[in-house]
Formats: sequence, C-alpha cells, structure tokens
Amino acid sequence: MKKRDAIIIGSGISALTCALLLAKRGKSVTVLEQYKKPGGYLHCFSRFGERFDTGAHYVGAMDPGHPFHTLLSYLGVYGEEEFVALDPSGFDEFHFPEFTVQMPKGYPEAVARLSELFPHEHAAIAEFFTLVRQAVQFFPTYEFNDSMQELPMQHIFETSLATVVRRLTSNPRLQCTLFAYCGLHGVQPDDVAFGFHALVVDSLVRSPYGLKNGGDALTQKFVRQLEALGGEVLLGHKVVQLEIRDQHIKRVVTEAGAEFESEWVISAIHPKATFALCDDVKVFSPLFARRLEALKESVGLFGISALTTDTSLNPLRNYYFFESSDPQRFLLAGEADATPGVVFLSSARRVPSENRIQPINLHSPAPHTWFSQWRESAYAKRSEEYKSLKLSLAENVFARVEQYRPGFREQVTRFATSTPLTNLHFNGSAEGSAYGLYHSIQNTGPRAIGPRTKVLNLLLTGQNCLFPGLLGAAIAGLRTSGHIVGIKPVLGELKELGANA
Amino acid sequence: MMEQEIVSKVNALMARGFELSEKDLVPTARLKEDLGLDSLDAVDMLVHLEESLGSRIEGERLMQVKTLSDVYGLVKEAAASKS
Repeated sequence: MKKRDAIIIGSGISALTCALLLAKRGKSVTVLEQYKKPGGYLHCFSRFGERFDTGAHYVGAMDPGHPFHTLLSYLGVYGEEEFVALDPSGFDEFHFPEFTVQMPKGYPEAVARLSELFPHEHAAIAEFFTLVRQAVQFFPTYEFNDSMQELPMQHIFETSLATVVRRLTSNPRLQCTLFAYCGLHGVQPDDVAFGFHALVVDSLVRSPYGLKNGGDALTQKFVRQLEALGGEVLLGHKVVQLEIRDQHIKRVVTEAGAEFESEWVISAIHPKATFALCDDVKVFSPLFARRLEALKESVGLFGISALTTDTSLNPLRNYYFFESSDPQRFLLAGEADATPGVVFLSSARRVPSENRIQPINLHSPAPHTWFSQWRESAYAKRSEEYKSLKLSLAENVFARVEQYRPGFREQVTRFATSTPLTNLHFNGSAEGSAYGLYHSIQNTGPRAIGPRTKVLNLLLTGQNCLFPGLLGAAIAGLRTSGHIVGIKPVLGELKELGANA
Repeated sequence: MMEQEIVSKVNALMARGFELSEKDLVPTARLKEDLGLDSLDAVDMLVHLEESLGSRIEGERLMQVKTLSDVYGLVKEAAASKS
C-alpha cells in the first residue's frame, strides 16, 4: 500500500486549499470525496437552462493585493475571468420596514453613506469601521502577517459583536444596519465574536465580487492544479472508518473497502461526523465527548432558484429583505407557515441579461426540524406533502420580497426549491446547516474545536473549524495545512505576493 | 463561592471529565506532568467551567495555569467577578 503524506476527507474549498498548499510544498496528497463531484458548497446545479450556485454567492477581499485574491493567486487558481466586481456604489442593499441602506465599496465611502443616513451617529460609525480594521489585523492568516504572535488577538474573541455595537450607539436602526451581516454566518449578534464578524465586514467593504462562472469553475481550477502537482481527488470515496492505534490513524477505510495509509489525515467534514468515524473513542476524554455532543448547528436555509422578468434588479447587487428592525429576529425562521425574518436575494448570473430573463437565488432561514420527517426518504423521491410544504414556503419567501418590491411575485416565471435536506444529501452537512457549527464565542478562537485533535495525526479543517463562508473556509485550510508544513514561511510568501500585486 | 466549594467542583470535573483518580487531585498536581492533560484538555475544561459558572474566563489566562491550585484561583476570580 502506497503511504501518502496526507489524506484529506472532503473536497470543499477548505479541503482543496489544504491539498494545494501541501502539494505545493512537495507533499503527496489524496483527497477523498463521497459524492460523484468535488467542491462541497462550491457546487453548482442547472435549472431552466441556467446555472445556479449552492454556496458561492459572493465573496470579499478580491481586489489585487487583498487577501482572497492573494491566496488564490498563491495557490495558482486565480483567474480574472472567474470573478466580477460588484457594484461599488452599492453592492448590498438592506431593506428594513422604516429605511433602506446601500453599502458602498470602501471604508471612507461606507462611513460617509451611513453618516448620511444617521447624521448624529457619525462618530459611532467611524469608530465601528476603525475597530473592524483593527480587529482583522490580528488575523495573521488573513492579513498574511508572518511576524505576529497569536496571543494578542485573543481579546477580539472574548467580546461579542452586540457588546461592541451597543457600546458605540443606542440607535436601534444603526444597530440593525451593523448587525445585518449576521445573515452571512448565521450567528446572532450577542453570540458572535466581534473579530469574526469583522472579517466578514472587512472583506466585503474592501472588495466585494461575484463569481462569473460559478463555484464549479473554481473547483475545476483547484483540481487541475492539484493534479499538476501530483495530487489526486478520488470521487465516490466515502470514508467509513478511521482505524486508530496508539493515538494515530493507521488506516482510512472507505465504504467500498478501499484502504489508505498516510502520515496525516485532514478532515474537512463536520467534527461530529469525523469523530464518529474513529474506531477507538478512548482517546477522547468524557468531557470532550460531552462538549462535542452539546455543539449546536447553525440554521439551515430554504433556497429558491428562480427566473424573473424583473429587470430593475441589479445583477451586481445583493438584496436583504428584513421583516423588522429587531435584530433578535434577523436569523429566526419563525414558523413554517409565516413569512421568514430575512430573505437574501442574489443574481445567479451577475451579468445583465440579454433576454430580459434573469436567474436569481433567494435564501431564507429554515430549521432542519421542519423537514426531519422526510430525512430518511430518498432525494428527488420525497412525498407530495414535502413538495407542498416547499411550495408554501416559497410563497412565504416571495411575500417577504413583495413587501418591498410590489409586483415581484408576478415577475417570477419559474422556480425550483431546496431545503436543508438537499444540503444533507449533497454535502453531508450536519442537519443540512448552511454554515456548519453555530460559531458562538464558546467554540471559536481559543475555544475552537480543532485544527489539532487528540489523535496526533488527525487535523480538522473546513467551515466548522474556523469560520464559515468561502473566505473563512479557505483561511481554515491555510491554517490547518500550516500545522504540517509550518505556517510562517507560507505567510511570508503570501505577504510578499500581496505586496507586489 | 467558598474555597472548598470551588475545590470540590473543579475536582469533580477533573475526575469525571478526564477519568482521573481523586487521590491524584492535590493542589500541587501539575496539569501536564502529573495529570497528563494537554492544551486541548485545557480548552475543554475552560468551556465547561465557563458554562457551569455562567461567567467568562480569559482563554489566555487558562493556557498559563500550571497546577490544579492555579485552576482553583482562576475559578475563584471568575466567580468573584460575576457576583
């Protein structure tokens, strides 16, 4: 049996980032993917002759010299043709019942825009964005700082977003605006560490982009580059067991009975699923087992892929439609028969349509419990009752948009829907959650599960390990592979590449 | 929280959570050398203590503790800051 340097379980952006970084450093790498197609949440699918993305709806920090651009360039997978800059005058539009905010690209512009809306709050607004900029400086794997010690960053994990914002302003509308991006990680303002929320805000305000050809095109670039460096991605290889001897994984076994040996095993799947594969649970303490068991998942999403004739929607802008200005309700799905607390609308094509038909994505929070009775039924063969629930949920989503864009529903010509069960089927995401673990302060930063584990050659990565989103998962991959090849030299090279961009 | 209450609470957590023998849980016991705990165990301990106390302990402070007695001190501080 050929012994590899690393086996990586899963093939989302985190796994592929790990794989490429290791391969670049001369390591032999095999990626094992359970599904017939690589990519995880980078997957696209076709409906009505259009391409839709499952997870890659937009991404930040993509201007030359900005972190995500630098990381992809470093990995050899950046392609200018894959990305399109979103509208700098307003890439996100937040709709609340009493007011609307368009977020512009750039820090001075963002401060000025919000100050126009909240003239008495200028100082608080300026301070918020200053704190965001300061906070991200403490992430060496985002700012590519090879001389930073990890310790000083810890305070930004000890304070919640809500604590920081409430200290700055008591204006409820401004608070709502500053909490709006919680929809992008699924964690409530009181529970999310300010530092992590700052990463999301910073990356988007600095340089927001859409994916022109979808996540599949990016995945293909990763896979081709990995193969060029001698690595491989094996599809349809579902790992069913990790054989542990003396606190080390000796063998990785797949459902079809294939066995692999490697120096390191990196798991990009959910931590609960990872530890459930281990054949010797005695390496984990009862306290850890209890902690793992108690971890909550982030909320699932109900998705709609639709065609619309509404040509007034800007394909280079995303739209957030909030039910109310009560931040506590932002991420609440409410009841299955009610209109959702928030609907996120994004273009699926990002270029103005020639034929007046525009493909769009709509997403709203939907807990897995709404669908659990169909969990055991097969994908695409679920009951009429399931289908009719999906239809009624879709109408609730349309009703929320209709509140702000009268006539929207009539302009939707066709649509298809997805639920957390769809995510479960394609990505094995626990409870079909969109953002993996609920990343509260209690399991991020110094309290995070992983990358290291009690099994000495098992490392964790993925959106569960650090933070969700394309950027969060890619950084997790960078960080995890750093445990094998040493992070400092990699950060040094990234820093130099970014500076020369 | 009284000193003795803290000691028994922490000791109970260590005994159950890490399957340690009560007789080894003396104040001078070194977490790493004597009890065989590492930084991953320390994180699990931190999260559990925070949840049971209902107050936060600075992560980096816990990483610096060496002995069981240091843990008692930290919990005492956290309990005091809450009240």
